Amino acid sequence: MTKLFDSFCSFGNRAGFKFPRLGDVKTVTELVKEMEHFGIGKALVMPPPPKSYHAGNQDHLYNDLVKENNIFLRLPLLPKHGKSFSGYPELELDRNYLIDNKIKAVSLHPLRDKFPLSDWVLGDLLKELNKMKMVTVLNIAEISPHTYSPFADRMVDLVGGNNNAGNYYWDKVHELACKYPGIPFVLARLTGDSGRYRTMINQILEKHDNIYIELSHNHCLDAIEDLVSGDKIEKILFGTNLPIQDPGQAVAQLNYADISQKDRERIGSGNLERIIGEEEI
Amino acid sequence: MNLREKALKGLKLDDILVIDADAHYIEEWLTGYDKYMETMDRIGIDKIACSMIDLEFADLYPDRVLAKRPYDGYSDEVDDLKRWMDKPGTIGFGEINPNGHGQPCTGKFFDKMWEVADSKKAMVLMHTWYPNPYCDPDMLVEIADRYPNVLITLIHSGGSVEGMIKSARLVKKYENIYMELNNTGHHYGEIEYLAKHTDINKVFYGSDWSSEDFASHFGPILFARVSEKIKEKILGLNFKHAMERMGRYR
Repeated sequence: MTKLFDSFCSFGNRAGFKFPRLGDVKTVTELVKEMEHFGIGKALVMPPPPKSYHAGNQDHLYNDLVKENNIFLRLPLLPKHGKSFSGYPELELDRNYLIDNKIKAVSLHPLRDKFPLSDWVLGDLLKELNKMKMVTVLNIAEISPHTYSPFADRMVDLVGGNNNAGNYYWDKVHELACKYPGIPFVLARLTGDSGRYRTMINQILEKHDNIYIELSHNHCLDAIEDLVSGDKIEKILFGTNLPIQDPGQAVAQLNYADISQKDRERIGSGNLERIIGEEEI
Repeated sequence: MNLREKALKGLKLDDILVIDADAHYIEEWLTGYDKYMETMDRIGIDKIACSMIDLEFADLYPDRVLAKRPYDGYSDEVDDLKRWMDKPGTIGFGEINPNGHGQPCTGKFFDKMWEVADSKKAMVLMHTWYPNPYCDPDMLVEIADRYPNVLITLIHSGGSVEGMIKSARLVKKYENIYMELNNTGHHYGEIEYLAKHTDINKVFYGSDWSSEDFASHFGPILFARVSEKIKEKILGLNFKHAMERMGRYR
C-alpha cells in the first residue's frame, strides 16, 4: 500500500466558507479516522481560525490538531500592514512559534481573501518567507459560493454571473517564483481539463525549480502519467482537499496511475516530506 | 477482498461489472481504439457508453462499447437521427451540452432530438449544471413530463452541491430521470448522501473519459461507507438494468 501524506486538506469552520456540504468532519478524532479510512498516514492541514467573530471559538479544535503526531499545520496568511478579518492571528514568523504550533507551511488565498498576488502587496511577507524557505501554498483556483466546480464557474462566466480571475494569476506566480527562489510554492486545486491548464502547468514546472503542484483537482486523462514521463516527478504532491472533496478521488487516481511503485511513493509522500524538511526554521 | 481494499492497493476491478456511462471517443486526446481498450483492460472497465461521431468504434468492439450520438439542432435531420437510434449498440443521444450550444435544453433547438428519442425509446445523457440558465437539472422536469419514453440521465448531477441535491430529488420523484456522478471535484460524502436521499438504483458511475481519468471518478464509490451491493449497482448494474429495460443492452 502506498504511503500517503496529504498536502492539501483543511478542518473546521472559516468565515465566508459556508457552502452547503454533503458530508463533514467535525472533530480531530473524526479527521484522523477519515485519514485512516482512505489510507492517509500524515496530513498538512489548514486549521480553523482559533477565535473568529464569524466562525466562532474553535480554540479547542486548533489545540487538538497540534497534539496529533501525524498532523502538521498550514497557516493561511494575509499581506502585512492590515488587520486580519479571517480570524487567524497575525503569524509570528519566529522559530519557536512555528515549532510549537507545528506549522510546516503557509498558504495564500488571493481570490478568497481579495488581494492581488503582486509583489507590491506581498513583498514584505515574501521576503521573510524566502529567508525561511517556508513552503507556501498558493490557492489560485476560483471558488464561488454558488458553484463548487471550476468547470461550473466557467460556465457561469459565460452568462455573466461570475469571473474566472484565476487565469490572471499565472503571470504573477511566474514573477514571484523568479523573485523568491527560496520559497517552495505549491499550486493548489488546479484543473488540467482538456489541456486548458495543462499548457501552463507543464511550462511553469519546467521553468522553476521552486514550483510544485498538488493533485486534488487535477484529474484529467493521464494527468500523473504525463507529469512523470515529462520528468516532473519531484514536483507533484498528493492532495485531497478533504473535507470539501472526497479523498477517494485523489487516492484512487494515484493508486491506479500507470507508473512505477517507486514514483507512486514519491508523489504520495516522499516529495512533500522532502520539501517541508528543507525549511530553515 | 472488498472494493475499498482493492482501491487502497490499486488492484484491477476484475470481478464485478463496471460500465462507464459518460465516456467519449476523442481522437485528439487519446488516439486509436486499441489505446482505449488497453486502459479499460488495465483498470477493469468492462464497457463504456461512449459518444462518437460515427459508429466504427462500437462496431469494432460490440461487447465493450455502447454508442451515444451527439446532436446539433441546426444540421441534424430527423430521418438520420432515427436511423442512428435503430442501429445495434446505440443507446441514445449524448453527451448533450446545452451550454456549449448556448441553447436551453427545453428550447426548440433540441425538439428533434427529444422527439426522436421519445419515439425510439432511447436515452438522452444531458450535461447539467447548477446554477445555469441552459441546463439546470430542474429544467428537465418539463422534458420528463413531455417525453415519458426518454430515459434522461443528468450528467454531472448538476455539478455543484446544490445541483446534486436537486438532482437527487428529481431522480427520486420522476421515473424517467437518472443521474451520473462525474465531476472534477467529487463532493465529500456524496455517495453516502445519495444512498440515503435518492433512488440509488438510478445512479450511474461515469468518468468523462477520455477527457478525465477513470479511477478518480470511481474512487469515491469504492471508498464510500455504503454496502458492497450499492457500490456494485452504481458501478455497473444500474446502467445494465436500465439499458436492458429499454432493450438497448448488449
